[in-house]
Amino acid sequence: MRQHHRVSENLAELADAELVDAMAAGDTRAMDVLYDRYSRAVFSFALRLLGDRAVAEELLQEVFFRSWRQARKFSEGKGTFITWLLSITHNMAIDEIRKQNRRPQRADSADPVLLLTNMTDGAVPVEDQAVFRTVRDQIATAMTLLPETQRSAIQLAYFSGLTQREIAELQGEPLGTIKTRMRLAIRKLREHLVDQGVELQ
Amino acid sequence: MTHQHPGPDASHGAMNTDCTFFQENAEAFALDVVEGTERSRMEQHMLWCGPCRRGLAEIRRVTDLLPFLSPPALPSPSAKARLFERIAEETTDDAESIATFSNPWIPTTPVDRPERAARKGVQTGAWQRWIAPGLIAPLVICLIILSAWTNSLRNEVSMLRSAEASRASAAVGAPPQSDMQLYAFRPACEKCKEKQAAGQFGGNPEGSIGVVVAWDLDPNEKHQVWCVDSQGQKRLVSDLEVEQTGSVFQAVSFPEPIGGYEQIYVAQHDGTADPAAELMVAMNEEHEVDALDATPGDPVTD
Repeated sequence: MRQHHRVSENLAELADAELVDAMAAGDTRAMDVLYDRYSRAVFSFALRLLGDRAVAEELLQEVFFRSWRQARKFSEGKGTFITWLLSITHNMAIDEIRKQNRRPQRADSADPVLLLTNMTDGAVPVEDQAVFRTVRDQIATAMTLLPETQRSAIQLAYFSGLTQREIAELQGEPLGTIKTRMRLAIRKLREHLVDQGVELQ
Repeated sequence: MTHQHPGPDASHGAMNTDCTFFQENAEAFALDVVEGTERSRMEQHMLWCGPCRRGLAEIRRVTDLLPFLSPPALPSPSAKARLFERIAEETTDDAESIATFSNPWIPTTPVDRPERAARKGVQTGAWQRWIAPGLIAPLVICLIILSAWTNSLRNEVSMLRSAEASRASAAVGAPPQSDMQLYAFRPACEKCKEKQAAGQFGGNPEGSIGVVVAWDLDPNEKHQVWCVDSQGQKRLVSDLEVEQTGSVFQAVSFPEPIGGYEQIYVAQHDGTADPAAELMVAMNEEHEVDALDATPGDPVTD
């Protein structure tokens, strides 16, 4: 059993799992630390998916509120805390997009690589940039190496919430072609990440 | 993602058509673009197929990085304040008298938990004098509600039994069965410190229809009924329609007679194929609440 009694000593130095345990025991100070650690990543992703700051902030609040209520269910065996948060964010945002049947941005203007190329980190603290910059650079580089059709497939599926059938209709391609494209895209992405030395095991 | 199929897995022998289907769609599944029956088929398959489950986990290590393609952005400070206000509201609503509340956004006076007080040798008599009536009153109310629910459930089960028995009689010309059982769901979430959900499950062990009655579920979460069959395989049975009050009263159709299952449980849908049970009943244990032994159509009394 992890020792969440140490929480009072120095919260900021504790690992995520220990803070989640403390949070499950009702300690809002642990929640405070986790929020400071990951709210930017969650908000950035929410904003990327929804395209609206106000809605993204609502989602941010909901995601962390759920993590507070469901902290006891978090299992390290099923991934890291940030992965868990981002998974909740994605599920809720895509549900919302599909429910509203709205697409946040046109596919061609929302290419993740273009967005990252043109972005500025000016508003983000230096330490925050350092935490996520490496992984962002790696995934962005891997994406640039994909053929445009495969990159587009990931974009439409993951960021715009379109189903395979909808993508097939939108692109005027057979469903089977889209399925194959999706499969190849993720496999190629994996290869490119591994080539960069990203540990995926 | 190819694998030799050792099975649960071993009993399944070589890789089967479901594995092939799963592999063809695993990337799309990880991207959450598989729908309807195809998605259900994959979720079912994952429950027993370890190699496919592990294959999907490998794919998710890639898709889990996709969120980082988002341009960095900062939420406003008020977003954090709103979040902690919301948590404070819930915390004070649920456990105002016993929690050590340490919200950094709202100053509060710390209150010692009773166990801490005991460790420190603090007298707890005054605390107990005040807290005991506070605990007993809700308990009495819960017992009254439980009694009402039970009576209601009995009537509902009786109606279901009558309908089922009538259908069976019509089909085989045999006398109707009358062995409906009520089972108490037991809380399966041992770490839960907040208000526990509770409920009962009713049904004919020989039949495939059961009734789930539960309360104090989280209405903001999606709940499902799962079962564990005699082979130990977990299967999703049905979604539950939980009311805003946190209660649910729903008939559920099982693929097999309910008496043949090891466990039937209610779980919060968490997007995985192995959600933690929140309420659980072990079908083979001697713990039924009641046995309805009246013949169909007879009035059900306490």
